[in-house]
Amino acid sequence: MRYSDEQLSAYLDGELPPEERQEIDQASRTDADMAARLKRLRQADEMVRRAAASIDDRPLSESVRDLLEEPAGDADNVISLAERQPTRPTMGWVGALAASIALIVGFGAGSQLGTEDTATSPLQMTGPVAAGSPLFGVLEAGASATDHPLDGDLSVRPVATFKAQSGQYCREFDVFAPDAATRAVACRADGAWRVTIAIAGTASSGSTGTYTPATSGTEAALDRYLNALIDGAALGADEEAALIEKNWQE
Amino acid sequence: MRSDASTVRQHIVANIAQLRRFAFSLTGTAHDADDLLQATVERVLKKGAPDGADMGKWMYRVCKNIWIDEVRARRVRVRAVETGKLETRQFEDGERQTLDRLSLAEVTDAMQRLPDKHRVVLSLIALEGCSYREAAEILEIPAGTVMSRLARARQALADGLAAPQNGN
Repeated sequence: MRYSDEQLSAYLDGELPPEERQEIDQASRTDADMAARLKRLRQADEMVRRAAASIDDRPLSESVRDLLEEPAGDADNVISLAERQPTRPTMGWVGALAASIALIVGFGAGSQLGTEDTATSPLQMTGPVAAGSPLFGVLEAGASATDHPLDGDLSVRPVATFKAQSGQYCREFDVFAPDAATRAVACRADGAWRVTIAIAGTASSGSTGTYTPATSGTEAALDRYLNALIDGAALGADEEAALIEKNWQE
Repeated sequence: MRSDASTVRQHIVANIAQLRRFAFSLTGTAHDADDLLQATVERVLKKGAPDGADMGKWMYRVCKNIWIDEVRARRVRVRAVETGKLETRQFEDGERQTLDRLSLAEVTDAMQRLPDKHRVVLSLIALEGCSYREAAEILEIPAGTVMSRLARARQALADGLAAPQNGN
């Protein structure tokens, strides 16, 4: 039978009723024409994502950055920062939020990291982490303070796990390549991980390297980002392990 | 109770890269996208979100509304220039060269040839991974309309990319 574009489109989005979805599943295995139609539609989405992500190459405009600066005289905020500051693990890193909300790592690791639109260069790393990708696996189940090798020369090291004020669990992590490193934050919602910020830096030495931000001088901005995000303290190793064990359910 | 300013700001920061891509997907040029982003951030900061609104979705709705109301008519740009808020557009001429990725430029062009109503649906779903229901809420249209516009947008874009020169 001939399926409409609307049905195939809804199939790609997982918006069809189960029976209809199974029918199309089956049909697409034997019907080359339909498989090709599905592929074309799927590619259209991919192209939209790549084209949209190309704006990440440009720094965020000054005026928007200014808007997003926390007012210095916000008394309430000062108190909450002071309360939270000691609870977060000390960071030997910080980065250039200003220059880098859109960032960007200089190594070709897109397919492994499972983030979108990484086939184009320079890479950007914010956005959904593809389920089933190596990075997804590490975020989902990898212990913090441990290097988790990916294929090739890449490795991922979760730095800390914490609960955001939104109630989501988030993880900070470093991604290391031989001559580059990125620190990022990803948050989990409905079983999916999304990288919310990624800051490019350099790795000092291979997979055991430490992360050094590419630009200095705006430490406060990234600290502020995390301090605003975090609710309470980072989880201890035991709490983190228990949470992973329970599949991130409390 | 309205979210306090700090919380609102934090939500925006967490979503700014996605929101900017959405704006770019709608407008098709980087500086229009940044104008739209700025107007969206300003409005969300000033007015917050209504009680119980999901901030993430709310920002997209605000962005979509501003785009429809203002940026398409270029009023935002004119006003921003008048009030001296906008820097000179040094990127404008070099933009295409800077992108230097013909295929992406082609996609952007193909996107811009879609009817606005189709483009916004495709952007929400392809970029944001919204469900049809979520997209329907943001766009304030029925889910069935989301489904049909999306299918037509995808099909048209797939056709356009297959034959970028004649757009058909």
